[in-house]
Amino acid sequence: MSALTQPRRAKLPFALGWIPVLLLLLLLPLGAELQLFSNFYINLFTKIFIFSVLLLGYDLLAGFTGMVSFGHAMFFGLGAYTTGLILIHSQALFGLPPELTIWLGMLMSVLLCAVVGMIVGFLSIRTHGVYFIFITLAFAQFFHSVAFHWSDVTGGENGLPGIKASTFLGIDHQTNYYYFVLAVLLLCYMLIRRVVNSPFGRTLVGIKENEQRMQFLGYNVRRYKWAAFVLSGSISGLAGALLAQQQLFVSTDLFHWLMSAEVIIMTWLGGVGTLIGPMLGGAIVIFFEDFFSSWMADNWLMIMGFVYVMFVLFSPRGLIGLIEKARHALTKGKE
Amino acid sequence: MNPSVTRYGSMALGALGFVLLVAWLLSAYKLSSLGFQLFTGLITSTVLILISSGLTFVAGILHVINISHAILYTLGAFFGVVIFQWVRAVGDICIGDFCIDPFWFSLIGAPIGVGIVGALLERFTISRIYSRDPIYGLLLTLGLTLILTRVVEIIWGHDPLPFDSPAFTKGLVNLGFMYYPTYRLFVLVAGAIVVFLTWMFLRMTNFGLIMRAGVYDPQIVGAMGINLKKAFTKVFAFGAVLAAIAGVIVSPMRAVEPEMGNFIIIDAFIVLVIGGMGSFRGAVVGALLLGMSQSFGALIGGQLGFPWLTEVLVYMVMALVLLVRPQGLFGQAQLH
Repeated sequence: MSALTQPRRAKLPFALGWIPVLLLLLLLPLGAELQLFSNFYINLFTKIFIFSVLLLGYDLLAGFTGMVSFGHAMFFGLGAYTTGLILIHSQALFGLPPELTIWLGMLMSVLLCAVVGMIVGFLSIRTHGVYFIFITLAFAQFFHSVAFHWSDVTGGENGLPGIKASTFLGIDHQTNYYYFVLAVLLLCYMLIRRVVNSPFGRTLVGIKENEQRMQFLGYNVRRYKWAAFVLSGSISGLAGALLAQQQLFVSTDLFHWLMSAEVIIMTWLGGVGTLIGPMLGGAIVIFFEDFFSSWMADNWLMIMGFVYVMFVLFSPRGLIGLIEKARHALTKGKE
Repeated sequence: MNPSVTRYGSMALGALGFVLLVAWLLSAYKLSSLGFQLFTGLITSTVLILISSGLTFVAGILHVINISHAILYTLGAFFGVVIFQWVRAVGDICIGDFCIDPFWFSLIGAPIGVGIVGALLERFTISRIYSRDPIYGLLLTLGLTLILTRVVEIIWGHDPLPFDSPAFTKGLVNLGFMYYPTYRLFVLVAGAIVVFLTWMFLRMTNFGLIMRAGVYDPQIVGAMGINLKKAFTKVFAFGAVLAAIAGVIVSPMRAVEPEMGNFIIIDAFIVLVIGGMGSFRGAVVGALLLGMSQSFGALIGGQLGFPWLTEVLVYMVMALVLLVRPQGLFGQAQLH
């Protein structure tokens, strides 16, 4: 597994046919319209798309730069709280029409997460490996603590209820919002793909493979890592902003370390460093969560735990690794 | 500057600061409230030492961020309750007039049971990922935690279980300047004894030596003819036993419920980071720092109107330690 083959793997599921997948996703609301399934699934897919944006941001950091953060909930929560507060207050405070609130929310979420990413990143990138895991966890817990205790603004442990949905292009309706989020996801995906395949992205992969070598080659490694951290955080903040508009409720759970753990699980379950993989992992976790939790209450967590253990033990490269293995076996059979 | 001058200078400064802090506290607060916070802080610290010393060796020697340590602690409490109820059902075991409180059976039995569970977990799952990136250890132990938490919930339900403290620890003790629950004093003493025994174990026994050497370089330890596979299992079981002891002794004070470990594991991680991985001394100092700052911070912060100040402060201290001394106060500079 050399440095150069790694990003190319991202193309693999494309060969499985991304046009049919996209068409299917575009036609999905039609099914709800025809009463084939309930609107609930439109919401579920919207949630999957939102998490996909979050995971895209995370994969840029963990998969391509090799910086495994255990605190990405910090950006998700920050984005969600920022947008939540803007959706609640901006009409009264600045007289902003409800069509525009989501744009202000998204803009401010991304900017704030970029600033926080700069500060946290500046401090965190000095550490490596396990210490990086711990320091990002510490910062995320810091934000959790603030959100929990600063109840005048954040509502404390009760969360932030009563968020007013923005009405831009009718996205207060779930079908319209589905398309809106899908569009944002596609844009983010194209952006991250572009970044990953650019010289900048190649440098990040080089840092992941061997940080010292990149330093000797004359790259300012810290600056690259810092940039990756900020970009990753901003994208994840955008995901938080999208979540606030969908759920119309924001709670401290978004900042909890279990959320960061979930991000890691989804990423590794799908296949870290493949962009498509984490999205797949996220979709599967969210889907299973829904399927099992309606079927066996809280015990679905046990099933998921079992699945994680099996994946770690037997398929460390996740679903994408499994797919590759299967493809490999198939092509071998032909020869 | 001469390093020893800097060292003694900073020590003297630290001592001076400490004395000033104590003097200010004594002048500003009543002795009883200070004493209460001191004891509360000490109890928090003792429990944290027991939990984080297992965590620190597993992280330092096995290089696994063991999230499932939380559930081992929880299991300790639940095993304690079960043994307690069994012994109650059988009837008190008496030698003449002297009856042995069921609590003691819990205190001995639960750690043994949890130690076996820990050894099995290590042998069948965790031992298979040592050669991989630390993130896989985190993922794996997280999966194990999810499974075991549900198992505990299925068997014992969501609701907190009652667990009686032994008869001789009922009531309050008059300490002169305040009254304090006897059981909490007992926890303090028992915890201190366990911490001391652990320290002796690490200093005096062969296996303690292997553990301390393992933090520096397990490969060399293996080259010396030690069976590393077995040693790693024992290290993990050792951590599990300490976590279970902590689980049993806190259960009469706190609620015994499936999620009880989730709250304390993050604190234990903070202790780990502040103290340094693989260092027992680090675990003790880190736990004392955290416990004391939590209890006194609540006192001071509460008066200033920022009861949350300490919690935020703790994370800032942790970040600061990581930046200035990434390996923690007593950690190895270079983990192999």
